[in-house]
Amino acid sequence: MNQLSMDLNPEAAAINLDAAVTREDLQRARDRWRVRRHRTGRRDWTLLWLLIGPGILVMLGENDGPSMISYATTGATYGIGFFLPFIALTFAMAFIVQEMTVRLGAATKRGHAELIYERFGRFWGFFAMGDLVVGNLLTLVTEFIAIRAGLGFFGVPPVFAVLGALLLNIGVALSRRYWTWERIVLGFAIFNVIFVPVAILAHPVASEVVRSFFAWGPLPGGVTSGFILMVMSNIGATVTPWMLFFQQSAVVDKGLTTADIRHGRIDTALGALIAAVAAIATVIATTPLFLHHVDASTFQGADFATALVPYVGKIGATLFALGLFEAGLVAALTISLSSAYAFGEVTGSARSLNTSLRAGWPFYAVLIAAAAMAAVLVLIPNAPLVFITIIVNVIAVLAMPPAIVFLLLLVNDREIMGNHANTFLTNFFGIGVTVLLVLAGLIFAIVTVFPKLLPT
Amino acid sequence: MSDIGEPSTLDSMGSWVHEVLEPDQLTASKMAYGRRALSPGTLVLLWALRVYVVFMVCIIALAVWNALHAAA
Repeated sequence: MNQLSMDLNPEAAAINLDAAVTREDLQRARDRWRVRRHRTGRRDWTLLWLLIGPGILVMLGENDGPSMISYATTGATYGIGFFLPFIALTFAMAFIVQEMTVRLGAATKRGHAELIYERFGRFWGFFAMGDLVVGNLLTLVTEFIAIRAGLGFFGVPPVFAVLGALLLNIGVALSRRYWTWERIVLGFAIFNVIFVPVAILAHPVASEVVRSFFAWGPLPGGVTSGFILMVMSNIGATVTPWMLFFQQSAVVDKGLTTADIRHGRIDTALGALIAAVAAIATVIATTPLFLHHVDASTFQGADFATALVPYVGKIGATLFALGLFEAGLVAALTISLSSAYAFGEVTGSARSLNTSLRAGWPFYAVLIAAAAMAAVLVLIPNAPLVFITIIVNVIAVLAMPPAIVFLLLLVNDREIMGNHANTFLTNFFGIGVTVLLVLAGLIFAIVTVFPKLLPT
Repeated sequence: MSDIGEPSTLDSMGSWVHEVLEPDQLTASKMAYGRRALSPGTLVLLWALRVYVVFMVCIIALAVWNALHAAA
């Protein structure tokens, strides 16, 4: 597009256009035009650069506050061993599930909540939304807990930390452009790999790390009720319902089409790989606490950073605290957006970051309200923050089977998916993930009801 | 896919948007898919999963209760 048309005020332009063309359409057309130009020019790397986003953001968004705390607790409790390959497996599961949302979004041009309401009706849609709303609110609270904890390490008062993050969230959303929002959040998200230098500073024995991936061990203490809880927590740190809703809606907002599915897969795989590396690095980074028998069972947020100072130095601990802040911030940005997307899709109102403030005020209001509500909850004195942090990952695992079944039903619906419906292989893996999640939930239930069945 | 060139005026931008976007990407032209028929098997599965969620909510409540008592 030439400079003249790029400089046109989209609001003014949209008003003067055909009545059927909105600001949202105009902005999306600009993104699509760039993609088309690069595809025609066979510039593969720049094309990939234009098309990545939703996959990386969803995976790094899920490497959020409670997830990083979960990985840190895993490293401090079990060290290098079983959980390294297990975390890699959970991200493979996440890829299997999230890849389906790419195809769904690209083939139908509809968000996840919108499709569930259209194809299953309001009754089932209400249940799916109920799971999402409760999960999102609780998870958002934990993100602000992580932001508070991360910045608390640097002496930032909780009010400034939480309100600062909230204002940043509002500021990025009010760019009123999906592309701008996505690039800014990608810029923040890449700092998730900050846990890698912390892992290096912990001086792990490389051969032990490699061996653990082949041996799926050691597992100190064996299978205990604490181990089952940790397994649940690690699964919940990787596959959660909001991810399905977010990625599909983001794929639609970005304007991906069926021609972009291959790049969408690469984007998702890249996100899973980076997130897995950051997660495994976090486990390795806190392994010194396991080796030195430091009791981390009551640690929260910045406690890990403080406890790591003797083993990874002040720089390592600082990076760890920054990583925690980043994890909470990126997740707060993505999860509040997923709530707004779902609201717009269910109510039939605006559901795009490309919408003008005037036309999309309910969408922006929900995005801001979701984040603000969580921020306020975190600042309430004596709020049960530890309780919320503990249960949020477990709730995510337990809410996941119904969410995946809706996903599988949709992605096998040839009426809407055409040639992009699931194959035998994708169904095999998708059903496999569902069965694994249900089994994990049932084992957790049995251990909870019969606590003496396993050693503590 | 042909390269459709660049719009230089507001008048040409409307048709340019229609040309660049696929029809169901335009906000105003989305048509609802409509309800799909749910087989008895699918309905049983959806209800079973709803029961599973309710059951698991009770389990979480029990787990929290146990944790609070263990801490006390």
